Amino acid sequence: MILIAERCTVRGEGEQLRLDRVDISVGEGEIHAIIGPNGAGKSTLMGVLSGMLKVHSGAVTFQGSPLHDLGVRDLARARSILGQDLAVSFGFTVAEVVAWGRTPWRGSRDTAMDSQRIEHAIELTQIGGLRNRRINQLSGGERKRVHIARVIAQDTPLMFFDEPDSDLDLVGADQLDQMLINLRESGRTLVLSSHNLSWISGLATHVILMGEGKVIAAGPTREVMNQDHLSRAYKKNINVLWSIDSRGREIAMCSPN
Amino acid sequence: MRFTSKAWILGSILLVLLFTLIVISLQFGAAEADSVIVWNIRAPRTIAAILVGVGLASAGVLLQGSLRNPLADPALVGVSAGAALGAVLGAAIGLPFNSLGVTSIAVVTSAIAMAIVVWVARSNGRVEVVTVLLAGIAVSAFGAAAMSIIISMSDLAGARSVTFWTTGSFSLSNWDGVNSMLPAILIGVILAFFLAPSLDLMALGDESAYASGVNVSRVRALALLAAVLLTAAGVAVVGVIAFLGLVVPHAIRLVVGPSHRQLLVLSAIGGAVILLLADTVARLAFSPTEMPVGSVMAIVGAPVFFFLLGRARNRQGGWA
Repeated sequence: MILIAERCTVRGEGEQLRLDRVDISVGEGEIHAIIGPNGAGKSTLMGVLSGMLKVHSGAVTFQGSPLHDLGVRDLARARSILGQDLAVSFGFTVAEVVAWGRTPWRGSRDTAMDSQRIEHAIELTQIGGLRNRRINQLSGGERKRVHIARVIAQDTPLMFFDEPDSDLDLVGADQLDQMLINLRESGRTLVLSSHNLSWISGLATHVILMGEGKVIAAGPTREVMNQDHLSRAYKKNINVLWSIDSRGREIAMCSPN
Repeated sequence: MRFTSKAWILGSILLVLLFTLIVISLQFGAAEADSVIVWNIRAPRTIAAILVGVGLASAGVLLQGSLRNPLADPALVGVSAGAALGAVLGAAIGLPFNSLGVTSIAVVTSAIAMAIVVWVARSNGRVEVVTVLLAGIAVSAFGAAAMSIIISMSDLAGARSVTFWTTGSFSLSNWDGVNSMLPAILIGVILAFFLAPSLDLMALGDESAYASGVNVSRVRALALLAAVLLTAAGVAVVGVIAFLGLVVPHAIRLVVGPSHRQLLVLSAIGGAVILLLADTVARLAFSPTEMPVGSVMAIVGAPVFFFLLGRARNRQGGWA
């Protein structure tokens, strides 16, 4: 197990529970998707697992040692995060933004390893043609690819993606899907959150279904994503119909009624 | 972090301009250029203009980068007024002007002003662009008012009037003044240079910068401290000069882009060039009558601020 969360509890203002004794274990090379209705605690769980949020009780261990003991630099060598706010102030170029991914690895100057990782990330995300463009002049989809290149360049075993498919069009979402598959095949462990349940059902090896700060169900995708679990999390009857997508994966069509 | 060829060219041009201005500044004036006048009056004044220019322009870069605020300038965010109040306070308790003691007090009050502004403008872990300026107005107004009260209740007006502090002038910059500002400006510049690569990542916003391995709160605190040192040291000797810290970094960014290492170095040199030019114009244009250098800067800087204000508002989709 690369990442284990044990009885993690986070309180919001007024002692309200935002996360209630959550247990999660993430194995190497798996893709874990955190799903659930708005306010279920997806972002809080993502924050705790990625070391951005402190827990009030419980513990998270990364490769056997406490995650929250890691300094900011070691943390950035362990995990990368694609957040939702991707605005960049001032007119930095695509090449500059991607190179920032190397920050936790940088000594005093660029090493061959740095440039190799940067080139690899640019290639994977197919943004070679944008290199010298200013990032705030790009379209939303292009901008997202640049930031994905940045987190790939960070070269961490564990990667977090906070609703990476929001604001992507059909083609953009398909490219994202392929990039995430490639990342998994290169040995990374991925944790992502999304509201697109059918996409998640095809991509993720495991699903963490949240509801009101608690884990409703967690485990292999096919076991978690059923009518009973989803209906409990969303507090509405959810019909689940499995079919096959264009990449030959089983995907769940989830519809409330 | 290598400099681009554009940066080298711009840097060379600025250095040539700077040396030309130094020669002009030493050579020309109301009196004949004899060695006593050049060494005792014009030389310290020229060096003071260079140091204050370096300080204010670098402080502008640090404030804009660490607060993610394209409109930040030491005078507009209240840091300068805080420093001026401290300098007057220092003099009121008996310390001589242009001394290290006065500078130290200016640094402290300027840091307090900075802390108040940032604290007021904080919201959900970020510092709001417009609230910083509004808080800056309030802090500046308080600083200026407290300063005038102290000056009117003491016999300090003879040495330096309220107008001196609010419009800025190099007319009282002697060797003591240069010595009193040198240490703080040196520390500020060195600090800024080492913070520059981290300031680049601050453009991502606090969360993403932290996730990328930047100790966001430490970098911001040190950047603001450096900005305070760079501003207060100059203000304690020459008074408040607004807009230099706003105009110079923006102009440099237009040419070489926003990457902070080269932005800082070029803004420092550019700040020295512009302020020495402004002082030379202020001194020679209507010689022997001298214009306040801060007013010369504001005449140029205020229109630029209007332009940037409009652009910042468009980018953010307006603000309430």
